[in-house]
Amino acid sequence: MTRADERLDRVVGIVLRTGVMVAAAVVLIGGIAWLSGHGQPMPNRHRFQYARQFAQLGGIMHGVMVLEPLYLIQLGLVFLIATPIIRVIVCAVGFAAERDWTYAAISTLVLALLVFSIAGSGI
Amino acid sequence: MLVVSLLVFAAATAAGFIGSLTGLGGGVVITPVLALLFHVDLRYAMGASLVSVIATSSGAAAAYVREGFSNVRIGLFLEMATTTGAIFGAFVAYYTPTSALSVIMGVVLLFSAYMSTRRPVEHLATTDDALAHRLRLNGEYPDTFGGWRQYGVDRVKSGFAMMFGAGLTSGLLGIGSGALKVIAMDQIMRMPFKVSTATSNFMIGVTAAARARVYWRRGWVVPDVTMPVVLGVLLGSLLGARRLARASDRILRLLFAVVVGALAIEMIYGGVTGKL
Repeated sequence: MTRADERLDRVVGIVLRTGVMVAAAVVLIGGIAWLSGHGQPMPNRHRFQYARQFAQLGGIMHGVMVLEPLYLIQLGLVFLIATPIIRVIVCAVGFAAERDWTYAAISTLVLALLVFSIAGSGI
Repeated sequence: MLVVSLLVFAAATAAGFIGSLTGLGGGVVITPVLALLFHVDLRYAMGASLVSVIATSSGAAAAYVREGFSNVRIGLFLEMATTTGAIFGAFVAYYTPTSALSVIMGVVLLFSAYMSTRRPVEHLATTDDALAHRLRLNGEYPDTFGGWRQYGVDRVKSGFAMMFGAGLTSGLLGIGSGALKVIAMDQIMRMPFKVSTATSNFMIGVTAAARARVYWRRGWVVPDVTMPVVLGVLLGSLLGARRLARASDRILRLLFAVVVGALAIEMIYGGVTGKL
């Protein structure tokens, strides 16, 4: 028996699994590199202190370019957060391909809310 | 540095393992464990918890969606409510003192502890409500005999409202609010328990992503704290998912409830006395 949304389900499953695996691999590589590097003191995390370089995408990319392990970890975390957003895009495209306009519109609205929350906080 | 990271990794693995056994995810325990055991500032703890929630829910959802347990239509429809709630909650969190956040966190933990001991009782919808019919929310899921079982969806509007609350809570606290999502679906909308849990996992990533950027920009997500947490929770939930397939886990559920209950009281105490 074939279900109505079987193909879309399969694609969504692949997107989610790939996203998590890629992200975890990048975090793991960065983590091993960081822990095996010597002489780096553990930052004090008992008190909150804003660190600009980890909070902005430009700073992260710059750190990755010079192969700083901590920025590689941070990049992996960016991939992780991107995974569900990509999943919503895939749903929007998938429902549009099935000419299911109601759900294409709902997916697009969810995507718009996500974009708003990202852009609204200023990248 | 190495020792602390390994200890956090071990704690996160345990949290992910028990979290996936109970279906509530590991995120809800990560924040109190980091804050109480490792004395990490609550904001870093919430940032790490948030990211690990995305990891486990997406990982679990990948399997559930392919097997046909997650209902993608219901998930997307309700995500309109949870993302709106999450955006709202993340902004409220910014203006809420951490002592108040830890008390709220404690209350949600108590609720999660209760939920994990609850024996699932299904009240399946016999008829769809009009809105569910129009939106074609009803679906089918694999039964134990290799076939497919149909189910209906009831009280869509109430479920939608409850989902806004779930999104608000997760935006406020940096958790997945899996317990609230499951209640909205299996108690209010009267969907099968398995479909509720699977669809909740499917939705959590999007709810979390909605507020991830807000946490991120405020510098709450730092690589050194988050790395061992994410990897640990992922490993733990993989192990937990395997075990789920064979063992009955009454004792583990009870253990989880006791641990979460104790953490809840600690969080409330810490919040009231201003230690956190």
